[in-house]
Amino acid sequence: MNLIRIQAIFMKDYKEFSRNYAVSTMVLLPLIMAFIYNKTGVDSMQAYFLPINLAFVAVTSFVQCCLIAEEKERNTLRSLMLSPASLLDILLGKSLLVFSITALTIMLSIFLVGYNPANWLIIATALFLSAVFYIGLGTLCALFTKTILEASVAILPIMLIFSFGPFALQLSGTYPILQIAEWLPSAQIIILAVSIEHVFTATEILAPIILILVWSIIIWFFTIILYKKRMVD
Amino acid sequence: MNSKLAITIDSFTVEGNIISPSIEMYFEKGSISGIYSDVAKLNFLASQFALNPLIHTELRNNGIYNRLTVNEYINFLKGLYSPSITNGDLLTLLEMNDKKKARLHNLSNAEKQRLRLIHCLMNDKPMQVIEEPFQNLDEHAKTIVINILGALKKLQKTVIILSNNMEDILTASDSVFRLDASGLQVVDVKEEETAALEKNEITPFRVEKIPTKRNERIILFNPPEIDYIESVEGQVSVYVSGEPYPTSLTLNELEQKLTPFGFFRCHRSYIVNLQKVREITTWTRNSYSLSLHASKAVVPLSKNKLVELKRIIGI
Repeated sequence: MNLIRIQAIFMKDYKEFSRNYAVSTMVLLPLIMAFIYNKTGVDSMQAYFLPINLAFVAVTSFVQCCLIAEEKERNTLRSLMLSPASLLDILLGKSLLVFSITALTIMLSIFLVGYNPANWLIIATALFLSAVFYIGLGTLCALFTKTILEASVAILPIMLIFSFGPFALQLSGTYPILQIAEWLPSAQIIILAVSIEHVFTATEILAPIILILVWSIIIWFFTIILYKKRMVD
Repeated sequence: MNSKLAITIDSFTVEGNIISPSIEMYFEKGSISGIYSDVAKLNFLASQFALNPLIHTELRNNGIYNRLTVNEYINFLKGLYSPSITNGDLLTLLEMNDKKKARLHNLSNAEKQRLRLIHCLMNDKPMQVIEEPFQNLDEHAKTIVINILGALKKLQKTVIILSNNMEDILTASDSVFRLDASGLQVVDVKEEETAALEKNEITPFRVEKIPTKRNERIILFNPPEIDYIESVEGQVSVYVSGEPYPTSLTLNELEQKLTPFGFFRCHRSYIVNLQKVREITTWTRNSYSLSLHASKAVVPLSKNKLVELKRIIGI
């Protein structure tokens, strides 16, 4: 791990990201949605969190996936791997950039949608852990995509499952199998947000946070193992 | 540590056929060596070099970040490699001072190709393998690349150029090798010069090159490169590393030209390079053939020529 290298990769990717409008305009998607939701006057927790969960997939996972896929597409990943920068440096440089973009987008979305959580600290912790999970998801996705085009297709099923998954809960009365969606990190953060609005117990808070943490650990564990395997050749 | 670096490359086989045998190479520090071969062998060689932690391999198809400017790209690479070279020096060496602020996708191919060599200037590995540094470059760009290679040489790096263009290798490198199925051969540039000098004493103003024509291009071969010459239905072909190159000279003219180089008219329609003959095979009392080292080619030998051949070789 070398801070200068991480910074170099961060700056390079920041410039590449800001000049690649196909990817960087995705940031606007959750913001526009948040704005429209605010104007149409919805105030359920489900509606508040739709732009946020959308930002996690459409911005966090998608940008991370694109940053790596584009390196493959243009054949730059190989020389990057041959440089003194280690795999950890490369992933950290990219993840830090994606994390910053995510933090900005999520904050703006929360502001635009007009959500005011009762406890900022708890919600911030959950959002931070979710960001870590979605960055891992994007990195994992990049293993299977070779171009930006493939990345934008691959992100669609992920968006369906993770961003819109919590809506399946509303149908769980008719189809009990959909109850499984409750375990998604995107559903857990809504459960958490609902419980902090009232008087809450420690388990009500800890259970969702630990669940999101477990999701993050699992996804990064798989990502790192698969990368080690793939990057050898 | 001595001044020579040894590299061993395993043999390259496809479905049991040896394409290139296992080779051992020695390279001097602060020198430029060129390896000439065909694309398949060069690709294999480059992939083998890439496995060695002491070697930096710069492949022809390595990409660059199109959306960065030249200056940003250099700064990024500096962050990766932390080299001692300054941006100014680098830009001067690349002759790109006026392109500092240009986005990489606006550069010409020749300029992009030069930018790739920055990797070689920045990393601190002792050996730099560069694939086709001169491909598709004009004369001016070639001079710049040669200057960059010179700078690498000054840094006491061992530079290896892989190319399938002999001319490029000859202009840029100190020592030249050719990789073919029989292994890595030194193409001794100096020896060739002295041989030409000696020749000049006998017949001044004559250079002994064998002109051949292939795909509308005239290729000149040094006599020692040639394996054998064959005449089929009046068409004379020169065989080099198993490849035929048609020539307009007749067998008799060639025989005259090549006899001083150890060539021998072994058959009415064949001339063979005796240096490359490995084996004389007797089939029956009246039929013989010569097997060559390099290619697996077999050349017929007439019965009446056998006596003369025995006399030349001294059996």
